[in-house]
Amino acid sequence: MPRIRGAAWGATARTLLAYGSAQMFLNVNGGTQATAALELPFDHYPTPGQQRRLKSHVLPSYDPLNDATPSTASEAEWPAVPSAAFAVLLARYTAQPTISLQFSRARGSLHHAVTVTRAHSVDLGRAATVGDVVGQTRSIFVALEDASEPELTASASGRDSAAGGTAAVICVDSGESAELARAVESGSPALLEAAGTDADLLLLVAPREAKIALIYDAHLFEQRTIERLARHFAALLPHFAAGSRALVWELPLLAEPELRWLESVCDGPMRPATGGLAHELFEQQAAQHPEAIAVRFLGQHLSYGELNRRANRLAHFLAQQAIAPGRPVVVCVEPGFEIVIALLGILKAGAAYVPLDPSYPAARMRAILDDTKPGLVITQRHLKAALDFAENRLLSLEDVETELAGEDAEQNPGTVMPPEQTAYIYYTSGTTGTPKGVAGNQRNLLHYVKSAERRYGLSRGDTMPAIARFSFSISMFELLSPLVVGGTSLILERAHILDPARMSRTLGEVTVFHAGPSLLKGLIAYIRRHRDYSAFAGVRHASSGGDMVPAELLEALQEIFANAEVFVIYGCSEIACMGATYPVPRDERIAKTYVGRPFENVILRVLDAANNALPPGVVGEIVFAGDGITLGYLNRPELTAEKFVTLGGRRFYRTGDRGRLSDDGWLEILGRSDFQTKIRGMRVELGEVEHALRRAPGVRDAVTVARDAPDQEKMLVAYVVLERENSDDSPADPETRLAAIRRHLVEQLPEYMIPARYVELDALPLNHNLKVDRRALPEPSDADLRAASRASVRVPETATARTLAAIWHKLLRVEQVGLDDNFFELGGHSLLAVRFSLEVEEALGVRLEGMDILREPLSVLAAICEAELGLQNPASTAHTSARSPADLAEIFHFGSGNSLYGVFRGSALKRPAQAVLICGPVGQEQVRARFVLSRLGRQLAAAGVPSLSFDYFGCGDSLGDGSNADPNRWQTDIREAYDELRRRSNATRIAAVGVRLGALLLSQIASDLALAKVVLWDPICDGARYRAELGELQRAYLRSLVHLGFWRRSRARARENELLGVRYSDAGVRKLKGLSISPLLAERAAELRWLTTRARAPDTAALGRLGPNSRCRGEALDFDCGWRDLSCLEDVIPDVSISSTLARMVREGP
Amino acid sequence: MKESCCQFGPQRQLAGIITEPSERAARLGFVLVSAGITPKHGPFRLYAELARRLAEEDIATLRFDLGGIGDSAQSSVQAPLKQRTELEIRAAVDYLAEQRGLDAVALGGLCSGAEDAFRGAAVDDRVRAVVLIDPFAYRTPGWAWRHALYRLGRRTLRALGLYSPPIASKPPSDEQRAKLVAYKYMDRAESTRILEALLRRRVSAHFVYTGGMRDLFNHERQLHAMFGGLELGSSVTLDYFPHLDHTQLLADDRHALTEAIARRLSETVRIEARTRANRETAPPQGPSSAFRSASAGSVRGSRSGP
Repeated sequence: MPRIRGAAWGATARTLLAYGSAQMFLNVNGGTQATAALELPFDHYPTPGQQRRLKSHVLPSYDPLNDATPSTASEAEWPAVPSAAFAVLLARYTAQPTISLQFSRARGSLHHAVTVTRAHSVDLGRAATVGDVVGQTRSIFVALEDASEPELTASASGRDSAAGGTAAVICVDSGESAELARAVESGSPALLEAAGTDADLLLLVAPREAKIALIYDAHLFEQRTIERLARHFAALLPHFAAGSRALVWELPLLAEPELRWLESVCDGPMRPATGGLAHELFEQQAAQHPEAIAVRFLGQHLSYGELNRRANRLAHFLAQQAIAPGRPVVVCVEPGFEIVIALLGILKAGAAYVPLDPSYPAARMRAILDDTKPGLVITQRHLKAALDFAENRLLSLEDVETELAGEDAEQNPGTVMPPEQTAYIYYTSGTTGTPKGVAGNQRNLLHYVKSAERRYGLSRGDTMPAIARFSFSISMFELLSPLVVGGTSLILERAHILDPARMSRTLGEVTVFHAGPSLLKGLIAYIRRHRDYSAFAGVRHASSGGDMVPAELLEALQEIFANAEVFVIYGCSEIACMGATYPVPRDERIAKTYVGRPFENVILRVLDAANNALPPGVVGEIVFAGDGITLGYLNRPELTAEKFVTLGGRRFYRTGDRGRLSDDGWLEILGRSDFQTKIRGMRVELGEVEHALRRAPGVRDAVTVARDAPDQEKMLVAYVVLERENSDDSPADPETRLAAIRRHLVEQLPEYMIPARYVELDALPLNHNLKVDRRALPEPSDADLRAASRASVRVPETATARTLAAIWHKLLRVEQVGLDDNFFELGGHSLLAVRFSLEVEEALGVRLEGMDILREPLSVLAAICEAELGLQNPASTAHTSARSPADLAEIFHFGSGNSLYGVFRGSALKRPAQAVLICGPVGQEQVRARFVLSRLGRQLAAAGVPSLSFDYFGCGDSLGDGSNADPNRWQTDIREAYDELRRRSNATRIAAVGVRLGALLLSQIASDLALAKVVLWDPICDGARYRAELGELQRAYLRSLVHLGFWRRSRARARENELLGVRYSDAGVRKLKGLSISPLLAERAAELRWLTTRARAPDTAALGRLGPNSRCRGEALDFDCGWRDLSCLEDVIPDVSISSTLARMVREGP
Repeated sequence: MKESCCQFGPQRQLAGIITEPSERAARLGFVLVSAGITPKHGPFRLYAELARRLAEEDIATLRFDLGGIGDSAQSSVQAPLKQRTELEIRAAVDYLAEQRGLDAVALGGLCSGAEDAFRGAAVDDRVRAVVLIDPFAYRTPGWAWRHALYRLGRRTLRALGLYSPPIASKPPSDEQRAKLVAYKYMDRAESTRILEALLRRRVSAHFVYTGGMRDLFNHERQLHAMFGGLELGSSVTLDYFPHLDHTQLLADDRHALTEAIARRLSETVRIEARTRANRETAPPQGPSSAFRSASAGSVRGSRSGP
């Protein structure tokens, strides 16, 4: 075994140090390979520029001599085993089946130490055994050993090219030096620095000393996380040392003490429910306090006694109708006393309560009725006509009550029923196009109301408003929980709930309430402006849930409801809603929105894909067991079997939510793993929307995606492929067809499931598996995004404004035109503006000025027309529309000597995935491209991608008098801008957009910058030709000025090397002529795209050499920017989808 | 000379750059209003070069993008363009005056920027001078016959092959033909009214016309002829560059322009300095005022003349 003598260890350290700061992109088998990112369990995110604080943690080791037989013993053997265990540990933590690591081996002779490093992926498929993995790591080390020369092509990229973290393994051969052993033990700084490289987590293996240690940055990992990793490593290692044949995904990670701890936090207290079923508890309250108020509505109320009597009448009636036990009875009513009477009556009769929202479209109601096949439908007189159901089984409550009278009918029926009897069915969005019913039994129902009541201490004095729609399962909390303890349920009309003025007044009259974040945002905004908080002194419980609840919202609740305990509730219909709850602490700052700990009689787990329980800090799927687990989905046995699984003898429900536990055992939700989303707190299966879309007229195919609007709400965007043939029924005009599709959806889906935006595509993008590649779907045009981002689009109100809006709608083909929209920002351009102006003249007789159309919003154009027509609206006052963050840019000087002018558009995200550097053209071309590029910046910002544009030295607003222009200097400027962008954006990946000369300059240095992607627009490929063209343009322009004074003009000369306003130095011109687009660009950038607009053949030929291949390709736009056209010299390039195309190229996946 | 970026306005939506002397405090502020859709560096960086030249004359220049242009976001005020522009210019003057402690500013610009500055000056007493590069102009009989001569000359040059108008290498596209943003100049009634008001306030008006305005302006005396009814006096000056184009491509041309403006504004700086000095030494009204005002009068007397 080659040894490094102890004295040479220092040399090794120095060598390693020299490479330490660069992340190495290495040539393995000729290609470049970067280490892929791992979702390491960071406790803190890295701050750029922060010094690392390295520490080591010694791991238990193993003795090679015992385990390796002499024939297989080699230098590769020893490190292979702990490396394999390390890889498996990472895989179990990150749930990634392929773990990419840097493997290093340090060795050498006395006088020079050499490190060999390679990046390798360790493959850990579902069927991988311990032996497989050890075999992989063994061959990696063999390869390392065989490598004679280190092939290091260092590119100083640092962290940016990895989203997440990186891990590495280093094997150090030290010879007989005991120094190294001590260094490893004591965690000597020299060793740590030397070994540190750039990885966030490093396994150090010293075979000779039989020592293993973890090296980590203490800024990123807490001690206890590392200790936990170490414990798990210790649990895994023996299996690897023994070379067992076990599957790596089944190896136990958690030791007994940890499992017991998990149980202690994730098992809610087990308390058997006593006292009877839910409706029986109500009956007890009615017996004890018949005069207490049970339900209020519109100033009237029902006492417990009265309510009980009326519910009993219904129950007897149902018994008379011979409704079998557990048979569904649908209740379709608007807010009023009926809902509570019906609920209790049905429960008492032993039937199943199925609420149906009267505002659903007829087709949806039909689907639910067909699925549930109720024995009876209870509704109100005025709704009867809308329900398509057998006449004789469609009743209004008034009918029932008149039919049955008399003392007997008012007694508790006392029906005996087992706890397993179906008690209710709630319908939620289904993936295959029809809603699915979640059926719960009496035990689930009892658990539901009792766990909430016990956890929150509901009692007789409490009043709770029923805010949720009755067809949502959380409504049971509001309707029934108060009634089992003698409290009051407050029924409200929908208009009342949605009116912040009235609703906030109501909140002053209740003691307990629960509302989703979307509704709360509006309410809180109103309360802050208009109400005195002392009105809410009586509220003692405020909770939210059903969707991600932002920390600011919780803080606002604490501020406004000063005497209330604020909670987050997490759950879903399938587990009877009460899954976990988080008491929001008052005396600490709320850093994260946890969803807390399970309710009583609920068991919560976070599992990996192989159903192993995961330790805190590791992300997995959240599953529940316990009394709340419902029966399953009505009529969907396969789906039920898929989502309700039995593990370890218990029946669990897989929520599909991804989350993790904190070290204290608080659960945190991190998102979903499927196509379910929440729109304003309401569950939507994208499949259901897509199903409806595909059946719409003229639609060949469709997908739906939930997109973030900048105001942090989500909206649905539909991508449709229309039928090509124009049949007689489908009109040819796309927006009419899209409107028809929308109308169809309105008839099929509830309002919150209808997509807000529609994008027409020629075809849906497919990935290599021929499945729809959702990441490749284009963003809806920024106009649509912007319009959606406003809290409310101001709809044109006056006739004039509506006329103008209609013309815009026709010309611009946008869904919605608001008063604050601007013609050009919605995608208009000069020609359309002229047409607009002509149409306005025809329609209204008013001639609008070009400048006005360019810069004014619709409201002002309407005001101008009205003024002309003498229709001045006296009510128009100054109104500030909500400004979306995408509009605000930050300008500053940066770079050496603060000589460069930059514009940064940020993102609300703390650590955006990507940021974009815009390297624009030089000189007049920059002025021409300005409009397009600033729109690009705004579109990117609206999508959460920060960007930086800047002026080169001597150009635009940067310093420098424009003489001695030098492309070398401009390349340095790009480098400085890159650093500035990294610093400001804190993004994980940087992409660059190069335009014209900017593209050429970028290509020269792209290899020095770590760029995830390069996008070019009409790049200059040949500096000499560019210079020649500029010269020609200038000469032609000067010739055209001769008429201003023949003698003066013909003698007027450009200064030396002055080309269209930019004066190059001699060296600068030579340099410019020598530049040509570097083919290295195609190799260095991870991906390359370009957009050409009617460029002449030779340029495209140069680009053609760069691609296309899987990583490099170009697109052409049928528009002439006129870069070489003298008459266009001072014309701004209108944005005919150039900026949207560039934005799409930047954002789309490979 | 030092430059610093700033963002101002009620929503911090306006982007600007202040160029000022690095060693001394500025004695006059100058707000340059962006022209058309060109950003604040001006056509071929005219504004940037001008601002830097003016720093040598102790002038602090704020050049900024009007809302929706360059790096400035649209103001969200619900008002017509003219009103919004006025508010934005006022915000710029406020900013410059407050940040640099100046009580006198000049306003200026090119083309539409000039006209916006002109309107801004009319409603702000702090404005002591305007610099108007190729603003409104109105044809006069004197213009007419000179124009005829010029056209003759142009036709001759063309016939001799010494001049070719900028013809596109291919027929103009629809977009180019649209030429939407053809600017409409201020009408004479408005410009006269504003000029009168400025004259009353003794605001200096420095006009600069280039050959690019040939279609409307082609000789020096035309300025006085355009405003025939007004007594223009010494506060109105004109620099006419008949051989320069509207947006000066060549550095030497821009240099000529900036020198002329620097000369005019440095004169304004001196005038303002004297006015300030006068105000500070002005005697309080009292019995001996007759004596003192005589000496004040003599100070004024020495100031007369261009």
